[in-house]
Amino acid sequence: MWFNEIINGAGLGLRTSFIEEIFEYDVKPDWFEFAPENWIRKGGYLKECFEKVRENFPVACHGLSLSIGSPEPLNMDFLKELKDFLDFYEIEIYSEHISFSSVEGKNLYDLFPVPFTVKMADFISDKVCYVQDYLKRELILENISYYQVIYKELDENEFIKRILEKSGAKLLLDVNNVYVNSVNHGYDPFDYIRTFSSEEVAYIHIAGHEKLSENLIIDTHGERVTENVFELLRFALKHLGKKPVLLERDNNIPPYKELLEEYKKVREIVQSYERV
Amino acid sequence: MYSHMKEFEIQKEFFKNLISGDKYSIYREIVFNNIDDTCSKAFPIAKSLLKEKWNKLIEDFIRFAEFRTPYLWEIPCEFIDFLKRKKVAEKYGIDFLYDLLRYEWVEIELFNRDLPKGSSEFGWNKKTFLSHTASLEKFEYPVHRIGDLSLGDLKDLKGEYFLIIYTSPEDYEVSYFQITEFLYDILKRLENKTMIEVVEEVSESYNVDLQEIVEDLENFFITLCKEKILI
Ligand SMILES: [Fe+2]
Repeated sequence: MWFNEIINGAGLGLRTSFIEEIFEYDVKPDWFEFAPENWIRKGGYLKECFEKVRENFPVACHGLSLSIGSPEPLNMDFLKELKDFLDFYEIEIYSEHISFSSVEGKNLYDLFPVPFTVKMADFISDKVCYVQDYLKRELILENISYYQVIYKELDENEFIKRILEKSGAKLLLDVNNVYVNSVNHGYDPFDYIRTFSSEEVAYIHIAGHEKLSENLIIDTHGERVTENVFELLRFALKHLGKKPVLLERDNNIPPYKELLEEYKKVREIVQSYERV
Repeated sequence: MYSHMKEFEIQKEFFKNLISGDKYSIYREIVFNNIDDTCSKAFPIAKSLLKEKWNKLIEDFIRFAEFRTPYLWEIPCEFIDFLKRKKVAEKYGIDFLYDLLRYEWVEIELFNRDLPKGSSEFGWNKKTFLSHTASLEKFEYPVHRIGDLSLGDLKDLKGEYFLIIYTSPEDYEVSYFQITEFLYDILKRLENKTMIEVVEEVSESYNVDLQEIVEDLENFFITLCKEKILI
């Protein structure tokens, strides 16, 4: 019943604003990604649309509420609901963020940066192993964009590298986040990407951002992808080799037709590196 | 091994500041915008009524809410409880506020529920249930007519309003029937009973002659079955 091919090529973040239109256009994304939190405990008309997409496309789940970096144990009720959801829709690919959103059981529904320390990396790694065991799936972790360093002993890339090495998790490399952080925190985005090997990276995210000032860029996912970020994508694909790439647009979503134009541009880039 | 990490203290400190501190953090803005956006979309009319009080209420909400659910879309429901606890309607003289919030939230909830599969025929001797895509509501103000009533009218029309709010299987739009208290009582009592049992019970308590209304009742129940309100 569900489409069970693995993701490949260029994908698109699924949004309800265009979920009814997907089958109306000749251009169809190679795969879709969505947040399980937006569909768990939901039914009704939009869920029917969602299931139609699930029947016809390879998909990846990209979670928001796991809060793997919380200074406390995981929310087991949530993990159970998540597993049921992934099992029901036969979704093998599940990614999350290296961040925290809840403390003492209170959620703030955003992704906050964790302290970049060895101890924190080890603490997160243990939790990652637990999640992987529980879900019977590999966990893929994304580098978030952050606007404040709450504490650091390691550079962000070293910190992430340590988690990947200790837990065996793969990286979801968000090149827009790399770009945004490189400007906000003053590092070389190319060096950052060079930290990771092809084996360590599962797939790539690309999105737009908003420039508030010379030194502050906000990762809004609400604008078109900028040329700087496309350049970084090309570099990442050259460095890592063939990887699935996902275009995210979470806010300020244009008409689907317009979004497809941007999607096509991403797909062209991905395909040009697939041929290499 | 991880119980007394300084990292945890740093995280808790950071988090506490977001909720109730006074140090500037861009994350406070981001959190505010996110919760504001979610509640504004759920309660657009309530927001326009509360005007300049809205932002402060959202700030307090972030500070005092539990936010246990991992699902952001469920947050507006908690916002209703919060406003009630703060006695916002009483304080600002918006008497119909809670009814209005309830109405707007029920619409969202129903829209997100699966319609019952298949069709059901009406039968007096069948055990009949209310579908979970329908909700029986009793309001003090006619908030279901907020589209065509002025706010002043709404206030003046204080009374008792009985509604079935439901998702229409035709177009998935959320719609309503305004019903009498008599019908409300009948539908309220449906649970593991046949329709005739319930109707007889309620008719007796209202001193109603069943023979006189049985035909109208049957027609109405047939409609409710078609709309998948009764299953
Ligand atoms: Fe991302």
